[in-house]
Amino acid sequence: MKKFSIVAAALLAIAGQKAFAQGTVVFNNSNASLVTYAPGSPDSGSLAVGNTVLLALYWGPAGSAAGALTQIGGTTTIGPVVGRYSGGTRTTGAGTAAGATAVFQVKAWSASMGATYEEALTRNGGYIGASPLFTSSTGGVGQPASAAVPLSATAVGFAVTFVPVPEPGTIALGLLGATALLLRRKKA
Amino acid sequence: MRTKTLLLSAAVGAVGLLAADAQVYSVNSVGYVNKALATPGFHMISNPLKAATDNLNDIIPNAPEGSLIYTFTGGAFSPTVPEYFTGVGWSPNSAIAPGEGVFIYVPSPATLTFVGEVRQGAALTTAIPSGFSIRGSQVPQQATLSALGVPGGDGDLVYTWDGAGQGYSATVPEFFTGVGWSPDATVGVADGFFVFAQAPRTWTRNFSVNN
Repeated sequence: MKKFSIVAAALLAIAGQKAFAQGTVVFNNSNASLVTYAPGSPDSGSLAVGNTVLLALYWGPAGSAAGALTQIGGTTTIGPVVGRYSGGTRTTGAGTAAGATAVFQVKAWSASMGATYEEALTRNGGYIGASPLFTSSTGGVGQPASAAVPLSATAVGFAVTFVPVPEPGTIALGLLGATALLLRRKKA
Repeated sequence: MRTKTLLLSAAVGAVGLLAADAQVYSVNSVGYVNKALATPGFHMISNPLKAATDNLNDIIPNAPEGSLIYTFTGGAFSPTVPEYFTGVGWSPNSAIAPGEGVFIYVPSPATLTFVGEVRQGAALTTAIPSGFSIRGSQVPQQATLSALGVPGGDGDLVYTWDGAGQGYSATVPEFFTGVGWSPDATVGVADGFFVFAQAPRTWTRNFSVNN
Protein backbone atom coordinates (compact mmCIF):
# COMPACT_ATOMS: atom_id res chain seq x y z
CA MET A 1 0.00 0.00 0.00
CA LYS A 2 2.85 2.30 0.96
CA LYS A 3 4.61 1.43 -2.29
CA PHE A 4 1.48 2.24 -4.27
CA SER A 5 1.19 5.64 -2.57
CA ILE A 6 4.82 6.49 -3.37
CA VAL A 7 4.41 5.49 -7.04
CA ALA A 8 1.17 7.45 -7.30
CA ALA A 9 2.79 10.52 -5.75
CA ALA A 10 5.74 10.26 -8.14
CA LEU A 11 3.45 9.96 -11.14
CA LEU A 12 1.44 12.97 -9.99
CA ALA A 13 4.65 14.97 -9.57
CA ILE A 14 5.79 14.08 -13.09
CA ALA A 15 2.37 14.96 -14.51
CA GLY A 16 2.45 18.25 -12.64
CA GLN A 17 5.86 19.11 -14.03
CA LYS A 18 4.76 18.34 -17.58
CA ALA A 19 1.68 20.53 -17.26
CA PHE A 20 3.78 23.40 -15.92
CA ALA A 21 5.20 25.21 -18.95
CA GLN A 22 8.42 27.10 -18.31
CA GLY A 23 9.30 30.58 -19.48
CA THR A 24 11.26 31.27 -22.66
CA VAL A 25 13.62 34.14 -23.46
CA VAL A 26 15.97 35.09 -26.30
CA PHE A 27 19.57 35.25 -25.08
CA ASN A 28 20.68 38.52 -26.72
CA ASN A 29 21.77 42.06 -25.91
CA SER A 30 21.64 45.47 -27.57
CA ASN A 31 23.97 48.35 -28.32
CA ALA A 32 22.99 49.71 -24.91
CA SER A 33 24.24 46.59 -23.11
CA LEU A 34 27.51 45.75 -24.82
CA VAL A 35 30.16 43.45 -23.40
CA THR A 36 33.44 45.35 -23.14
CA TYR A 37 37.02 44.87 -22.01
CA ALA A 38 37.66 46.34 -18.57
CA PRO A 39 39.95 49.40 -18.51
CA GLY A 40 43.58 48.40 -18.20
CA SER A 41 43.09 45.14 -20.09
CA PRO A 42 45.37 44.12 -22.97
CA ASP A 43 42.40 44.84 -25.29
CA SER A 44 40.04 47.77 -25.27
CA GLY A 45 36.54 48.64 -26.41
CA SER A 46 33.82 46.08 -27.09
CA LEU A 47 34.62 42.38 -27.20
CA ALA A 48 35.88 41.20 -30.57
CA VAL A 49 33.75 38.98 -32.81
CA GLY A 50 34.76 35.33 -32.67
CA ASN A 51 34.94 32.20 -30.59
CA THR A 52 37.58 33.29 -28.10
CA VAL A 53 35.03 34.28 -25.47
CA LEU A 54 32.10 32.13 -24.38
CA LEU A 55 28.91 33.50 -22.87
CA ALA A 56 26.26 31.68 -20.86
CA LEU A 57 22.89 32.71 -19.46
CA TYR A 58 22.19 32.07 -15.80
CA TRP A 59 18.68 31.98 -14.45
CA GLY A 60 16.83 31.90 -11.14
CA PRO A 61 13.21 32.32 -10.04
CA ALA A 62 12.16 35.88 -9.19
CA GLY A 63 13.96 37.11 -6.08
CA SER A 64 16.95 34.76 -6.47
CA ALA A 65 20.38 35.89 -5.30
CA ALA A 66 23.46 35.65 -7.52
CA GLY A 67 24.73 32.45 -5.89
CA ALA A 68 21.45 30.66 -6.53
CA LEU A 69 21.43 31.05 -10.31
CA THR A 70 22.03 28.12 -12.64
CA GLN A 71 23.13 28.03 -16.27
CA ILE A 72 20.36 27.41 -18.79
CA GLY A 73 21.19 26.21 -22.28
CA GLY A 74 24.54 26.09 -23.99
CA THR A 75 27.11 28.79 -24.52
CA THR A 76 27.20 31.36 -27.29
CA THR A 77 29.88 33.68 -28.69
CA ILE A 78 30.29 37.33 -29.64
CA GLY A 79 28.97 38.28 -33.08
CA PRO A 80 28.18 39.23 -35.73
CA VAL A 81 29.19 42.68 -34.44
CA VAL A 82 31.55 43.61 -31.60
CA GLY A 83 30.20 43.44 -28.09
CA ARG A 84 26.95 41.79 -29.13
CA TYR A 85 25.67 38.27 -28.64
CA SER A 86 22.61 36.61 -30.12
CA GLY A 87 22.36 33.05 -28.84
CA GLY A 88 18.79 32.03 -29.66
CA THR A 89 16.14 30.92 -27.19
CA ARG A 90 16.62 29.58 -23.69
CA THR A 91 14.03 27.88 -21.48
CA THR A 92 14.02 28.61 -17.77
CA GLY A 93 13.94 25.96 -15.08
CA ALA A 94 10.71 24.74 -13.54
CA GLY A 95 10.78 27.55 -10.96
CA THR A 96 9.55 30.07 -13.53
CA ALA A 97 6.18 29.54 -15.16
CA ALA A 98 5.71 30.66 -18.77
CA GLY A 99 5.08 34.39 -18.77
CA ALA A 100 6.40 34.92 -15.25
CA THR A 101 9.29 37.22 -14.34
CA ALA A 102 12.69 35.71 -13.57
CA VAL A 103 16.20 36.79 -12.62
CA PHE A 104 19.00 36.51 -15.17
CA GLN A 105 22.73 37.07 -15.35
CA VAL A 106 25.16 36.81 -18.27
CA LYS A 107 28.60 35.38 -17.62
CA ALA A 108 31.52 35.51 -20.04
CA TRP A 109 34.96 33.97 -20.04
CA SER A 110 37.80 33.14 -22.40
CA ALA A 111 37.28 29.77 -24.06
CA SER A 112 40.92 28.96 -23.29
CA MET A 113 40.05 28.95 -19.57
CA GLY A 114 37.52 26.12 -19.78
CA ALA A 115 34.14 25.00 -21.00
CA THR A 116 32.21 26.50 -18.09
CA TYR A 117 32.33 29.72 -16.10
CA GLU A 118 32.93 27.75 -12.90
CA GLU A 119 35.95 26.05 -14.47
CA ALA A 120 37.22 29.37 -15.79
CA LEU A 121 37.11 30.85 -12.28
CA THR A 122 39.91 28.46 -11.29
CA ARG A 123 42.14 29.36 -14.25
CA ASN A 124 44.32 32.26 -15.34
CA GLY A 125 45.41 33.71 -18.61
CA GLY A 126 42.13 35.01 -20.02
CA TYR A 127 39.13 37.24 -19.60
CA ILE A 128 36.26 36.66 -17.20
CA GLY A 129 33.28 38.70 -16.07
CA ALA A 130 29.59 38.68 -15.23
CA SER A 131 26.75 41.14 -15.66
CA PRO A 132 24.73 42.51 -12.76
CA LEU A 133 21.52 40.57 -12.11
CA PHE A 134 18.54 41.76 -14.11
CA THR A 135 14.92 40.71 -14.35
CA SER A 136 12.79 40.01 -17.39
CA SER A 137 9.40 38.62 -18.17
CA THR A 138 9.33 35.38 -20.16
CA GLY A 139 7.36 33.97 -23.07
CA GLY A 140 5.92 30.56 -23.85
CA VAL A 141 2.47 31.37 -22.50
CA GLY A 142 -0.69 29.67 -23.75
CA GLN A 143 -1.58 27.62 -26.79
CA PRO A 144 -0.30 28.53 -29.29
CA ALA A 145 2.59 29.70 -27.17
CA SER A 146 3.68 33.31 -27.12
CA ALA A 147 7.14 34.02 -28.52
CA ALA A 148 10.21 34.08 -26.29
CA VAL A 149 10.88 37.49 -24.73
CA PRO A 150 14.12 39.11 -26.00
CA LEU A 151 16.53 39.94 -23.17
CA SER A 152 17.96 42.78 -25.30
CA ALA A 153 15.45 45.13 -23.67
CA THR A 154 16.55 44.37 -20.10
CA ALA A 155 20.09 42.96 -20.30
CA VAL A 156 22.80 45.02 -18.59
CA GLY A 157 26.19 45.63 -20.18
CA PHE A 158 29.32 44.55 -18.36
CA ALA A 159 33.09 44.32 -18.71
CA VAL A 160 35.39 41.32 -18.63
CA THR A 161 38.62 41.55 -16.69
CA PHE A 162 41.91 40.00 -17.73
CA VAL A 163 43.33 37.48 -15.26
CA PRO A 164 47.05 37.24 -15.99
CA VAL A 165 49.08 34.06 -15.62
CA PRO A 166 51.52 34.58 -12.74
CA GLU A 167 55.02 35.00 -14.13
CA PRO A 168 57.72 32.45 -13.13
CA GLY A 169 59.43 35.16 -11.10
CA THR A 170 56.25 35.83 -9.16
CA ILE A 171 55.77 32.10 -8.53
CA ALA A 172 59.36 31.73 -7.36
CA LEU A 173 58.97 34.70 -5.01
CA GLY A 174 55.79 33.17 -3.64
CA LEU A 175 57.51 29.85 -3.02
CA LEU A 176 60.42 31.60 -1.31
CA GLY A 177 58.00 33.50 0.89
CA ALA A 178 56.12 30.33 1.80
CA THR A 179 59.38 28.52 2.60
CA ALA A 180 60.52 31.40 4.77
CA LEU A 181 57.25 31.36 6.64
CA LEU A 182 57.51 27.62 7.24
CA LEU A 183 61.09 27.92 8.49
CA ARG A 184 60.10 30.74 10.82
CA ARG A 185 57.21 28.71 12.23
CA LYS A 186 59.56 25.74 12.76
CA LYS A 187 62.07 27.90 14.64
CA ALA A 188 59.36 29.32 16.83
CA MET B 1 -9.22 44.06 -54.80
CA ARG B 2 -7.48 47.35 -54.07
CA THR B 3 -4.24 45.45 -53.48
CA LYS B 4 -4.59 43.78 -56.85
CA THR B 5 -5.12 47.14 -58.52
CA LEU B 6 -2.10 48.62 -56.78
CA LEU B 7 0.05 45.70 -57.72
CA LEU B 8 -1.09 45.79 -61.30
CA SER B 9 -0.29 49.49 -61.42
CA ALA B 10 3.13 48.82 -59.96
CA ALA B 11 3.68 46.01 -62.44
CA VAL B 12 2.59 48.13 -65.38
CA GLY B 13 4.80 50.96 -64.14
CA ALA B 14 7.78 48.68 -63.79
CA VAL B 15 7.25 47.13 -67.22
CA GLY B 16 6.76 50.59 -68.73
CA LEU B 17 10.00 51.85 -67.27
CA LEU B 18 11.83 48.81 -68.54
CA ALA B 19 10.35 49.24 -71.99
CA ALA B 20 11.29 52.91 -72.18
CA ASP B 21 14.79 52.33 -70.94
CA ALA B 22 15.98 49.14 -72.58
CA GLN B 23 13.14 47.81 -74.67
CA VAL B 24 12.88 44.79 -72.39
CA TYR B 25 9.40 43.42 -71.87
CA SER B 26 8.30 41.37 -68.93
CA VAL B 27 5.16 39.42 -68.23
CA ASN B 28 6.04 39.23 -64.57
CA SER B 29 4.36 41.45 -62.02
CA VAL B 30 6.97 43.15 -59.94
CA GLY B 31 6.08 45.39 -57.09
CA TYR B 32 6.47 46.06 -53.43
CA VAL B 33 4.43 45.72 -50.29
CA ASN B 34 4.82 48.03 -47.32
CA LYS B 35 3.93 46.40 -44.06
CA ALA B 36 3.50 48.90 -41.24
CA LEU B 37 4.26 47.62 -37.75
CA ALA B 38 3.04 50.53 -35.69
CA THR B 39 3.57 48.98 -32.28
CA PRO B 40 6.98 47.95 -30.94
CA GLY B 41 6.94 44.29 -29.99
CA PHE B 42 5.69 41.17 -31.71
CA HIS B 43 3.88 40.82 -35.03
CA MET B 44 3.00 37.85 -37.22
CA ILE B 45 4.02 38.27 -40.83
CA SER B 46 4.60 36.24 -43.97
CA ASN B 47 6.43 36.89 -47.20
CA PRO B 48 3.93 38.03 -49.85
CA LEU B 49 6.35 38.32 -52.80
CA LYS B 50 8.95 36.24 -54.57
CA ALA B 51 12.35 37.80 -53.91
CA ALA B 52 15.69 36.75 -55.42
CA THR B 53 15.90 34.04 -52.75
CA ASP B 54 13.83 33.07 -49.72
CA ASN B 55 16.58 34.25 -47.39
CA LEU B 56 15.79 37.00 -44.90
CA ASN B 57 18.31 39.45 -46.39
CA ASP B 58 16.38 39.31 -49.66
CA ILE B 59 12.87 39.14 -48.20
CA ILE B 60 13.29 41.84 -45.52
CA PRO B 61 16.44 43.77 -46.43
CA ASN B 62 15.83 46.49 -43.85
CA ALA B 63 14.53 46.29 -40.30
CA PRO B 64 15.17 48.13 -37.05
CA GLU B 65 18.40 47.21 -35.25
CA GLY B 66 17.73 44.30 -32.89
CA SER B 67 14.68 42.96 -34.74
CA LEU B 68 14.18 39.22 -34.30
CA ILE B 69 12.55 36.50 -36.40
CA TYR B 70 10.88 33.52 -34.72
CA THR B 71 10.15 30.53 -36.93
CA PHE B 72 7.87 27.73 -35.82
CA THR B 73 8.38 24.18 -37.06
CA GLY B 74 7.46 20.77 -35.74
CA GLY B 75 5.08 22.23 -33.18
CA ALA B 76 7.62 24.48 -31.48
CA PHE B 77 9.53 27.69 -31.96
CA SER B 78 12.99 27.18 -33.38
CA PRO B 79 15.81 27.77 -30.86
CA THR B 80 17.61 29.77 -33.56
CA VAL B 81 16.35 33.36 -33.65
CA PRO B 82 17.80 35.45 -36.51
CA GLU B 83 18.58 39.01 -35.43
CA TYR B 84 18.97 42.12 -37.58
CA PHE B 85 22.23 44.03 -37.19
CA THR B 86 22.59 47.36 -39.01
CA GLY B 87 25.35 47.11 -41.58
CA VAL B 88 25.35 43.33 -41.40
CA GLY B 89 21.79 42.21 -42.07
CA TRP B 90 20.16 39.13 -40.61
CA SER B 91 22.29 36.76 -38.58
CA PRO B 92 21.81 33.96 -39.38
CA ASN B 93 20.40 34.69 -42.83
CA SER B 94 17.73 32.00 -42.56
CA ALA B 95 15.23 31.11 -45.26
CA ILE B 96 11.49 31.62 -44.94
CA ALA B 97 9.62 29.35 -47.32
CA PRO B 98 6.74 30.70 -49.42
CA GLY B 99 3.56 30.40 -47.37
CA GLU B 100 5.43 30.17 -44.10
CA GLY B 101 4.55 32.69 -41.43
CA VAL B 102 6.84 33.94 -38.68
CA PHE B 103 6.79 36.15 -35.64
CA ILE B 104 8.87 39.29 -35.95
CA TYR B 105 9.92 41.34 -32.93
CA VAL B 106 10.64 45.01 -33.62
CA PRO B 107 12.08 47.18 -30.83
CA SER B 108 10.61 50.29 -32.46
CA PRO B 109 7.77 51.02 -34.91
CA ALA B 110 8.77 50.10 -38.44
CA THR B 111 7.56 49.72 -41.99
CA LEU B 112 8.90 46.62 -43.67
CA THR B 113 9.17 46.77 -47.43
CA PHE B 114 8.92 43.51 -49.30
CA VAL B 115 10.14 43.74 -52.89
CA GLY B 116 9.69 41.07 -55.51
CA GLU B 117 7.52 39.36 -57.99
CA VAL B 118 3.91 38.35 -57.42
CA ARG B 119 3.64 34.59 -57.32
CA GLN B 120 1.18 33.41 -59.93
CA GLY B 121 -0.10 30.17 -61.36
CA ALA B 122 -1.78 27.03 -60.20
CA ALA B 123 1.14 25.57 -58.33
CA LEU B 124 1.09 27.79 -55.26
CA THR B 125 0.91 25.11 -52.63
CA THR B 126 1.58 25.41 -48.93
CA ALA B 127 1.71 22.36 -46.71
CA ILE B 128 -0.13 22.68 -43.41
CA PRO B 129 0.94 19.98 -40.95
CA SER B 130 -1.33 18.62 -38.25
CA GLY B 131 -1.13 20.57 -35.04
CA PHE B 132 0.13 24.13 -34.85
CA SER B 133 1.95 25.94 -37.65
CA ILE B 134 2.33 29.57 -38.76
CA ARG B 135 1.22 30.23 -42.30
CA GLY B 136 0.45 33.16 -44.59
CA SER B 137 -0.78 33.83 -48.09
CA GLN B 138 1.82 33.38 -50.81
CA VAL B 139 0.24 36.27 -52.70
CA PRO B 140 -0.20 39.87 -51.54
CA GLN B 141 -3.93 39.86 -51.04
CA GLN B 142 -6.14 41.06 -48.21
CA ALA B 143 -9.09 38.71 -48.07
CA THR B 144 -11.11 36.37 -45.90
CA LEU B 145 -9.85 32.90 -45.04
CA SER B 146 -12.30 31.34 -47.47
CA ALA B 147 -11.42 33.77 -50.29
CA LEU B 148 -7.74 33.00 -49.74
CA GLY B 149 -8.61 29.31 -50.01
CA VAL B 150 -7.28 28.37 -46.57
CA PRO B 151 -8.21 24.69 -46.30
CA GLY B 152 -9.79 23.28 -43.19
CA GLY B 153 -11.36 20.25 -41.60
CA ASP B 154 -13.85 20.03 -38.79
CA GLY B 155 -12.29 21.54 -35.67
CA ASP B 156 -9.40 23.33 -37.35
CA LEU B 157 -8.64 26.72 -35.81
CA VAL B 158 -6.98 29.94 -36.92
CA TYR B 159 -5.34 32.34 -34.47
CA THR B 160 -4.67 35.82 -35.79
CA TRP B 161 -2.41 38.33 -34.04
CA ASP B 162 -3.45 41.71 -32.73
CA GLY B 163 -0.31 43.81 -33.16
CA ALA B 164 -1.74 46.81 -31.34
CA GLY B 165 -2.85 44.70 -28.38
CA GLN B 166 0.26 42.48 -28.48
CA GLY B 167 -1.71 39.27 -28.15
CA TYR B 168 -3.75 36.76 -30.10
CA SER B 169 -7.10 38.11 -31.28
CA ALA B 170 -9.98 37.11 -29.05
CA THR B 171 -11.89 35.78 -32.06
CA VAL B 172 -10.67 32.35 -33.11
CA PRO B 173 -12.17 31.22 -36.44
CA GLU B 174 -13.07 27.53 -36.50
CA PHE B 175 -13.73 25.33 -39.50
CA PHE B 176 -17.06 23.51 -39.53
CA THR B 177 -17.77 20.87 -42.14
CA GLY B 178 -20.53 22.13 -44.44
CA VAL B 179 -20.09 25.69 -43.21
CA GLY B 180 -16.44 26.61 -43.60
CA TRP B 181 -14.59 29.15 -41.47
CA SER B 182 -16.72 30.73 -38.79
CA PRO B 183 -16.24 33.62 -38.43
CA ASP B 184 -14.61 34.07 -41.82
CA ALA B 185 -11.86 36.38 -40.59
CA THR B 186 -10.01 38.76 -42.89
CA VAL B 187 -6.27 38.37 -43.21
CA GLY B 188 -4.21 41.41 -44.18
CA VAL B 189 -1.49 41.58 -46.83
CA ALA B 190 1.72 39.99 -45.51
CA ASP B 191 -0.01 38.85 -42.32
CA GLY B 192 0.88 35.53 -40.75
CA PHE B 193 -1.47 33.47 -38.61
CA PHE B 194 -1.38 30.31 -36.54
CA VAL B 195 -3.29 27.33 -37.88
CA PHE B 196 -4.26 24.41 -35.68
CA ALA B 197 -5.06 21.57 -38.08
CA GLN B 198 -6.62 18.28 -37.01
CA ALA B 199 -4.88 16.56 -39.95
CA PRO B 200 -2.30 17.56 -42.59
CA ARG B 201 -3.73 19.81 -45.31
CA THR B 202 -2.50 21.34 -48.54
CA TRP B 203 -3.31 24.98 -49.20
CA THR B 204 -3.45 25.41 -52.99
CA ARG B 205 -3.91 28.74 -54.72
CA ASN B 206 -4.45 29.46 -58.37
CA PHE B 207 -3.66 33.13 -58.61
CA SER B 208 -3.24 35.56 -61.45
CA VAL B 209 -3.06 39.34 -61.32
CA ASN B 210 -5.20 39.37 -64.50
CA ASN B 211 -8.16 37.65 -62.81
